[in-house]
Amino acid sequence: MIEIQGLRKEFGDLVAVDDVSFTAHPGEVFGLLGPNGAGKSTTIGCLSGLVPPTTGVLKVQGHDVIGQPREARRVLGVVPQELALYEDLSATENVAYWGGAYGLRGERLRKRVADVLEWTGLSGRAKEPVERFSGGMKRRLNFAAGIVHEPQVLLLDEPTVGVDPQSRVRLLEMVRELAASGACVLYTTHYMEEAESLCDRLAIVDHGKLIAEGTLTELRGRTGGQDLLRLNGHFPESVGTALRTLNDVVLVSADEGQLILSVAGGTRRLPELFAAVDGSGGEIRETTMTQPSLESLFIQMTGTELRE
Amino acid sequence: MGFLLASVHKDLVRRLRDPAALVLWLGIPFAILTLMTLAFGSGFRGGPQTIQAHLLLVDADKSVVSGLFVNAFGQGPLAELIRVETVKDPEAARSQINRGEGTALLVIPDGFGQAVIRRTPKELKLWTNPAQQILPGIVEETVGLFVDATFYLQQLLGDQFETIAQGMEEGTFSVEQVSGISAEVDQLIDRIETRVFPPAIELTTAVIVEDTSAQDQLGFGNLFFPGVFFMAIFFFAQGLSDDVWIERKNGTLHRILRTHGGVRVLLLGKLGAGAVILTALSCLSLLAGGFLFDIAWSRMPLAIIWSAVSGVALLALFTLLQVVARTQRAAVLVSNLAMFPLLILGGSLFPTEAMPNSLALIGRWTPNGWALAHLKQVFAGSVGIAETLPALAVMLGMIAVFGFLTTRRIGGRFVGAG
Repeated sequence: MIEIQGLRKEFGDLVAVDDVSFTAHPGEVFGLLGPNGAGKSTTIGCLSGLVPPTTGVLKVQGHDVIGQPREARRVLGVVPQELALYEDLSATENVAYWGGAYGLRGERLRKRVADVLEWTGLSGRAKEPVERFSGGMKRRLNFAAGIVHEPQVLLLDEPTVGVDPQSRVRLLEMVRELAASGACVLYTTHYMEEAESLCDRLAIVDHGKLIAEGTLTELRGRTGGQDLLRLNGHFPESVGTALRTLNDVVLVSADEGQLILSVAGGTRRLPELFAAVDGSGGEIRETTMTQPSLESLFIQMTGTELRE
Repeated sequence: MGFLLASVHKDLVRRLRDPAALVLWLGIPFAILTLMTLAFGSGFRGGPQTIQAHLLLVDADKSVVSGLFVNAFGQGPLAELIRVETVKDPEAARSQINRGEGTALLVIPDGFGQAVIRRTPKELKLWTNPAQQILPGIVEETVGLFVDATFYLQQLLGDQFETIAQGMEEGTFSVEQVSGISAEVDQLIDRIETRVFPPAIELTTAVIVEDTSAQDQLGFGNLFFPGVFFMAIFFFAQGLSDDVWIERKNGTLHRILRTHGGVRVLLLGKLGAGAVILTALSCLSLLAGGFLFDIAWSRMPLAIIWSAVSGVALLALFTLLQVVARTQRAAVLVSNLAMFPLLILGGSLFPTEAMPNSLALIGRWTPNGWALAHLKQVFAGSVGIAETLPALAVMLGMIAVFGFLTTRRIGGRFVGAG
């Protein structure tokens, strides 16, 4: 179980995490969704004891991360965003070393190393130096090193960044299996579809703030069933003014080349919208309508699309 | 304990999979030693060797005079400077000098003795080896001096030479002739003695006997070898120390900070692996040194222990310097800035025995200078285990302090914001 209360982290004048609170339970995959720089990795860093928080309470399986760091780290597994492996050691040596770092010894360590390498599909090349591995294989090994000690709480910091589709599918399967076995998984990502397909509950963060939290269904419901309409073309300021006068139309963002609208009623409203744009001097070149989704929620709440 | 051993094993395996780096670290100082040995023209064993010219000499005359000429090369200090090899066959001698097997070839022609006595011209032939720079000049100068000396003898004792030559032709000397020549030579010497050997300065000499027993034990090898060996330890320690940056770059340092094993064990593992490598280096180098420089074998175990512990202390110091820097480039600069002055002051490049007293005093207060001085004392047998144990305790204390500061720094600013 992960409990975070009022987490704030400042780096000088920069507030990386601002009053974030949430709870993740055993057996669930809790997603932290947000663009790069939103504060996800800092939250993971604070939770794993690497980054001291400015204020806030962080607990892992009831152990205070600041007050009881050794106990907290013992039950915690971390798969960092960047690869953290010894390239000149073999897969077996890497996993065994990290297992040892988490306190595994002797026969149990040997068995766990063999098990996780088998599970991650690397047992066939277990004796090879990691420098010969493909990017996807390294990602899986990075994952294996984080779970070798069977952690009760697992922190996964964007583990699929730069991974080929096949390895990504396998990694996501493994995350589901771990959660099914009772582990509490905190999963950060900026991939919407990954969050939608994997996470039982989600928190959306942007600029260090938690802006929404709930199950996927709950979050979708917060869009109010409104579709997201993107219009590309040429839009003078008068267009925005005209659109704001329409009922059940929310102008999420507007600039000269693109308008994003949250619209109740979907395609039925298009003639009315087109007429308003046309009548106020605008010109539409491309139209895209999206069903209610995490993406539309994110755009509704932040006024921007999810940044890479 | 288990994870500590795993950490040592991990770093050892990583090092052994890069043997080229180990060989290079070992090779640089020993290349310097070899070059210094060659530059100073000394062999590995014992003290400095005298440079000798090799003169091939063909005496075709075989007279008393030519014999005197040949023997003159073997007199006094000249004998140490020029080694004379008498060769019978002039052609064989020419071939030998053409092959570069000698400094010069001097041919004394038949009739040389008679020509000297009769005061008639005769030509001596001297060939020199162009492949040598200095020694042929020495031979040429020496032969020139001998020719000049012969000329002056001719001028002073020409009449006596004539009498001797005449007697030799007649096959007999009368008593009057012998006593006459003896008296004339005696008078001549009395007459010219005040000019040739003027008592211009009366010199009183006093020999001050210095205690050179300690210096006798320090030949070229003994003087330079410990310093160069410590230089190898420096290179190893510095080379091993930048591993913290590799760990940081690989992300493994961040990862270990998130485990309950922690950075303290990681650092101890690095020092442990360093200790194994430095012990192996010490064994290898000191055994080679023992063979080359006649260091007593009984002193080796203590010297190896002392060197290995000193090396680990240097590794701990350099690791601290690495983590103090904000970037890897700055770390290289900082460790080089520390290493080269320490190498120079501590007596690794130039023996402290050859330094001015003030500089040597500063050098002895550097950690490596102190360690090197102790190692030399171990080699010389002037300190044993009893004297080394307190010094080892000091060294271990230094390792603990450096390690503590490094751990604090890694756990703090070194890893960055994460």
